[in-house]
Amino acid sequence: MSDLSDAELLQLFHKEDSRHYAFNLIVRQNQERLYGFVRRMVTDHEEAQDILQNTFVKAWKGLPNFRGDAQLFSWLYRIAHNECLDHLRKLRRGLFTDGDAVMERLANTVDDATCFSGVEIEKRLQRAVMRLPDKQRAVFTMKYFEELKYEEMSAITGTSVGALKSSYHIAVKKVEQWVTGDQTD
Amino acid sequence: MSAMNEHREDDDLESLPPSLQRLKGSAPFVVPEGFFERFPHAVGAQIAERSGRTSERNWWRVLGPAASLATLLAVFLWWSVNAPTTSADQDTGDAHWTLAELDAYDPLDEHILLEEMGGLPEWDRVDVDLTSDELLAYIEYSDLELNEVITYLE
Repeated sequence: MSDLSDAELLQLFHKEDSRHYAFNLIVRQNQERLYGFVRRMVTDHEEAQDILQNTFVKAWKGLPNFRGDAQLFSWLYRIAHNECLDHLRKLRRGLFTDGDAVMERLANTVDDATCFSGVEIEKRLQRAVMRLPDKQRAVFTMKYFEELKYEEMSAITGTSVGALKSSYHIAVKKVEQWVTGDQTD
Repeated sequence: MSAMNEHREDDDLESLPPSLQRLKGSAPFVVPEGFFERFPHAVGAQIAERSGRTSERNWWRVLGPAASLATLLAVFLWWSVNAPTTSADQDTGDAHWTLAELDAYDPLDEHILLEEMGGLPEWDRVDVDLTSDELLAYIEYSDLELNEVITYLE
């Protein structure tokens, strides 16, 4: 992992001869954290890999115009967040597919031991997370698992801090009920 | 102010129900071995492939309209060289007809005209008052033999 700052990485990226090297460093520096978010959003590894690849391809195209106003990580996170929502929307709207069935298939990935190593309560948690609406799941994942600050989340999602807070609190209540089994629907 | 914000952020996490508090930080997803080693190369390959496709597409963006334009120009040139003669050409007598076509073409077929008019007029019944000068002018203009006319009138 490189210790280069955003500014240094961008400086390298803007030079023709070090562009690929700099981008490789950017990918290595951010891939694990972004993968964690995307994987929580879709559960399935293959889907997560596709989304993450598209995220970095888009970042490669957009980076020459990146002004550096935001943190590089937040900017990448924003692309990954949008890619996730787009991907899930497309999955649901696919020809000959039932949207709920698609989400159920993704949620059931937790039953596959080669994909999910968690104990029963962790499976229940992930299934509960998958039952949240896409945008609310993104908010819950960013806050609960990734521990992002609301200001960062606001920059990523383009939603106000107040709306994010209320969305998170509602999500917490729902997930808790589903995990503890107080409510089945 | 920022300390207050951080305190509030902590509050959000602290106020989690015990069931969720306990599960925080768990990462039970299985990631294929060596995935994060290979992934940057996969991204690099994807970028190279897509930029190749993009440059191909850019070529077609230029070549496509140019090829269409060239085809249109070629068709126009071919048409202007091989176009069938127009009626204007016929009017000015520039048409290049074969003898057979010329024979077949009779712009003023007398028989047809007469048929349309209902046959030849009965000249005996035609009553025209002409002065002698007018009659002479008509005979001269029509290239009639004066003797023949006198014989006819007798």
